[in-house]
Amino acid sequence: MRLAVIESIRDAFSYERKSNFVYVLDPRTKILYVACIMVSIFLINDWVRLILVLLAQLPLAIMGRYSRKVLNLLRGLSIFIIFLICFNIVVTYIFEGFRLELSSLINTIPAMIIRVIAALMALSFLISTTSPWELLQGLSKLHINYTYLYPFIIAYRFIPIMFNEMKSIYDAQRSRGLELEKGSVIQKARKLIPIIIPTIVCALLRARDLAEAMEARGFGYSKRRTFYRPIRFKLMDLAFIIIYIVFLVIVVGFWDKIMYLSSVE
Amino acid sequence: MTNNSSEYAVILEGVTYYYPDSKEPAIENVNLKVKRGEFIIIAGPSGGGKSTLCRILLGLIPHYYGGRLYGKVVVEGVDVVRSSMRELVGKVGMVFQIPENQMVNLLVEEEIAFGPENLLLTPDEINKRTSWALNTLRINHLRQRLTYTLSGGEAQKVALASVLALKPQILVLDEPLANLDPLSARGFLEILYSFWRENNVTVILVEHRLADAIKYAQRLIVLDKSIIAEGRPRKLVEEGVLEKHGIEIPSISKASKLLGINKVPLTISEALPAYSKLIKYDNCNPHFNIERGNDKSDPIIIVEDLWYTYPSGEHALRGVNLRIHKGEFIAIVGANGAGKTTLIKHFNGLLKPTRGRVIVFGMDTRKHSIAELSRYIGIVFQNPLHQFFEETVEKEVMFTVKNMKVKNGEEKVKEILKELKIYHLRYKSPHEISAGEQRRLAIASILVYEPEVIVLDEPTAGLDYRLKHELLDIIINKMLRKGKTVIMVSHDMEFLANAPIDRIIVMEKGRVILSGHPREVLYRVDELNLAKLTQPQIPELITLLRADKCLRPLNINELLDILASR
Repeated sequence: MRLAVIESIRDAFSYERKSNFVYVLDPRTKILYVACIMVSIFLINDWVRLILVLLAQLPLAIMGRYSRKVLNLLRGLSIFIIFLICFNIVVTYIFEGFRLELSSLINTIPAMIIRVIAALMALSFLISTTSPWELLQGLSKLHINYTYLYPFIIAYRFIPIMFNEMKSIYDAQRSRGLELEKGSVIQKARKLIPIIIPTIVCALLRARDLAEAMEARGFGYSKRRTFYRPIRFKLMDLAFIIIYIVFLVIVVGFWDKIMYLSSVE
Repeated sequence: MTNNSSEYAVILEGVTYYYPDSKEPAIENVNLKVKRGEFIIIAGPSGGGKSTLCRILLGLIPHYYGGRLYGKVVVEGVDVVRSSMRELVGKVGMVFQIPENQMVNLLVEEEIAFGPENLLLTPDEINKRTSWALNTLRINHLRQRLTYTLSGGEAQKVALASVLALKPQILVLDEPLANLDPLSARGFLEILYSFWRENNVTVILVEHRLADAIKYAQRLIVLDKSIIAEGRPRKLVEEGVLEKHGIEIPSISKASKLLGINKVPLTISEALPAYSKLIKYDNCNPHFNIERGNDKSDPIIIVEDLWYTYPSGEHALRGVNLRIHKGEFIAIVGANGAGKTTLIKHFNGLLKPTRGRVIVFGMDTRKHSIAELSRYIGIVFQNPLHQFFEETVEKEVMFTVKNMKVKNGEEKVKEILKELKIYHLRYKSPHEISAGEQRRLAIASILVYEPEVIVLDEPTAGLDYRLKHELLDIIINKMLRKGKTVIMVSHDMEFLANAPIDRIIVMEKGRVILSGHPREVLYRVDELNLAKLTQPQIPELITLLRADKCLRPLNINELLDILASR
């Protein structure tokens, strides 16, 4: 079960190379886009407008063909989302003076779920259509030193490898009679030691190899670096970002006025 | 003086190195000169300081590791100790043992551009070099692939390309073949050799699997703390220095020496003329019979139409049928990713069949726990480091003893440590002991509870020739002689040819494509190649002489017996 969650997250955030309009956008454009979506979904509270933001993301998901990944991710995280909702209900219940109003729940719970979906969709867009290298270039054009960014790329690349290694380690220890399922909570925690220690040892050895390989290829040679495929902010990026910003500004800022005007009519 | 220094790519004079906090030198008084454009192989036992030497050539020692380095190191005219890493970067390129550990980026193209980007080359120049590196190694089709989807052989070529993009004058390769299947290993060597021939570059290849590599080397160097032998490969083979220091020489060379053939051949093709005179069987009745294993008794492991699909949807096993009998010695072979490890994980229930079933000692694995099944089936996995977590060797074995509730546990631990000759190390940390000792400890921690069946996953990985001999000795004397059933997963073909195996099972893409006695399987070239395997040298020789219809020796001893009986 726990593994299924990890796999679905890994799958949702895995980059696949395809040739498509969403893949040629400047990574800076994509970062800006995700930031705008994130800000707007936290500024609006009613589920009607949140659905609009969600729908606005759909064309990208269809073009980038990552909608299946978002669904997998939701399925993987469903337990977490349910937990979040329950937690939220309990907190409101306490802060509202131990009263629960059904009407407010009907508004807040769907809004919360849609918000989570909208946020996940935006993140999936960024991560599954941009290679970490492109992201790195985008960020280093924003004057962030690349040596601080590489650890993230390495984490992204090596976390799946380490999960696989942990599975092998778990298998090796189970073959020596380790049974994680049995025993009290404390005993169970102790039984994790035979898995955690080899995982750390092997990760350190990998880190040493990787550090040597990077050092030998001039990593850290200079504070700057060049990029073999320089990113360019194109007309398409400008058009893309204007369309979305205008849309989001209307939905977030001028929604009440539009509603008011249409009701006057 | 200037002429003299430009003649050599590498000059080491009296080099001794101590790692930080170490009282023993990793290498001692090493003197070595490598000429520009030379192709040399450095061989030597595990722990002999080969990797340390590579790190020195790269400047990682002392600049990255610290420690104490004595003597003079000059690489491409740069004094390594006195100058910084920056002056060496790009001059020396290095390919490491494990392909996946040296890849940083997600796309192959990005990976190859990584080095030149660090050195601030222009995008045009980087793209030119990327294309050149990909074309030279004939891997242009991999350009847009994701690095984690590459096979071992492909990944190692990409690693080489990513180094070539820096246009180094010296290429250092630290056991680049260790994790490749036999056919990929050959492919990698061929491409390395043709690159070396066409470009003015010095190659320093560290390798102890000499059978395939030795023919490429102009000079062979044996390193065991210090250089104990060097010279032309043929000369060293003829003089017998290599065997004396526990280094594997090609079977064909060894056989030729024992037969007293003048000018010892290093490759099969060199050997053909001499052997075609010795072995003449054009028309004959078969002189061999294929032994049948013990298949009268009831099987102890039954695999029936086994399918296994990973959650990702990948079909790892597609309809495997298998019967294993008591006391058999079985080898499961195939390329990386053929499903070998997936199959053995079904024997003790680590994986449960998606379809079909596995019966172990009458128990259906779907209905029994791993702990129950493990009492009968002990699996020793490939990487010993995946199981070590205790403070001492003794406690490591005790862990299994306690889990399996073995009677007289302490006695048993003492006994098994003595049998595997690691009793004197019992208070040491499992991480302090040598690679061979770690392998024996991993085996001890399974053997201690005496399971009926012992499964060994790639047990020869990372072992040198001498340690492989020790392993074979353990398998024969501590397992087979005691009536145990042994199942070994491997693609070490020379090891298989020398082991008393009853049956070889060849897997390819989740299916069993061939199963039979080694005398049959090791002579089926097409199926072996399909599974990315090669014939061991003696069977290859006989096949090329077209004598395989009459006689089928597997190893040197059998070949000599046949020739002596004539």
